[in-house]
Amino acid sequence: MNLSALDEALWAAGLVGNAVLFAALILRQRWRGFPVFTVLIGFYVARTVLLFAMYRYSSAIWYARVYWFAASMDFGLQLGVVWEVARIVMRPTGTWVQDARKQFFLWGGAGVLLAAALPWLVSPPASNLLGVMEVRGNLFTSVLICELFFVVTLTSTRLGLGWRNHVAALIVGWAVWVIVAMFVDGLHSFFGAQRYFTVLEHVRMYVYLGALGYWIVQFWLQEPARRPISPELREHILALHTRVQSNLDTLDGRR
Amino acid sequence: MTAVQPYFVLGVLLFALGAAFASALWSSMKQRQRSWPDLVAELEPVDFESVGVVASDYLNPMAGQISMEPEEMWRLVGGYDGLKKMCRNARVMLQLAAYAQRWNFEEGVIVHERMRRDASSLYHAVRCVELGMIRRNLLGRFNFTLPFSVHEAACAYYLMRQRLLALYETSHAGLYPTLAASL
Repeated sequence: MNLSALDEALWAAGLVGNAVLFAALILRQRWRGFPVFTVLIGFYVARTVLLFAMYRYSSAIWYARVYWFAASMDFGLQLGVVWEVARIVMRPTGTWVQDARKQFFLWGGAGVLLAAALPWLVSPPASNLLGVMEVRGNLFTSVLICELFFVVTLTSTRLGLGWRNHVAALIVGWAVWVIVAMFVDGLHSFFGAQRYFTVLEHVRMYVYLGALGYWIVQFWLQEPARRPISPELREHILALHTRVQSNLDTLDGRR
Repeated sequence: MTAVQPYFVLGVLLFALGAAFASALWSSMKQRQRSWPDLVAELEPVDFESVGVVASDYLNPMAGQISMEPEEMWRLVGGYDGLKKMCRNARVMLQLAAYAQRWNFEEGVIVHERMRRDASSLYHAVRCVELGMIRRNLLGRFNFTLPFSVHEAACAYYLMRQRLLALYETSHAGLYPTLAASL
């Protein structure tokens, strides 16, 4: 495996971006609200360093073993981030909002079935079974994570649950990245692991770097404090109260 | 050679998922950015006095509590159009309650949850009414549960509205007496 200068630059940029985001999450105390996300970003930093060291100084077989072990941990942690976001959004009072858990698990379950079925639709061009399974596995994980984030977004929107700035930033950045990742893995399943592999991976990395930059800025900034009521809104509410009082008086008169 | 048809299906499904996700995200971001006057402007006029009469008949039973006829109830809630308006207003009211969390989080979040439960009852009651109407139109049979559903819908809407107004009133306990005194 030979890496071009661009590959190495993107690898280094990913490492620096993840390290800066990790530092922002720690220094600004965001890890308290997003512990799993913080662990995931810290894991990405450690994984990049470890894999780069193994790529340079270790054998290909050990590199592959560590790579696949890290990939499975990555998948587990990404599921953890979905769960973390779902808990933040759908448990504003500390308990699940009525209907939210049911909808989340119902649609999430349907998503798992769909994500499991989709990779079996296609037969990726690969020289051996391991190659086929690799492409299918990647497609499964990106489709599943995309679906689960979609379910969280859709459920919270339908139930009228508001998002505060940090969780909104996490969802938006992740959404853009995971949608692109899903299409990249879909194209890998068509072209195989040889044709256009590098170009497609570069696209995925560019988008991830964009998401990293967005997260660094958003997680560094404080969420706006609960604002006092504005004068315009005060006027609206007072007018509303007057109308309500009138309506209630009328209602009492009719009873 | 790679068979193209499965990839076409895969491409369509991935595109549909990506587009649905992007659309849900867009709706959610738009919902976050809407101002209070924008939300209030979305409320549709509902004859609350009439809805209140139906709700009071159910919530405060008195002697002769079954005197209100189903036809009267149906007329007071504005028929099917009135029920659909209530459902649409309920969605806006939920967003107004969520908006109040910006300055009164503790109470806002609990009232919001209570209102969501009311909204759930409202949607359920309206779905029952819709099913009853389908049954009546197809089979010509009157559904005896229909008046109960209308009662439940009116009560849920009444409670949602009262909870929302009480939430906003609590946020302005200091201001309201001044206004009342000056009027």
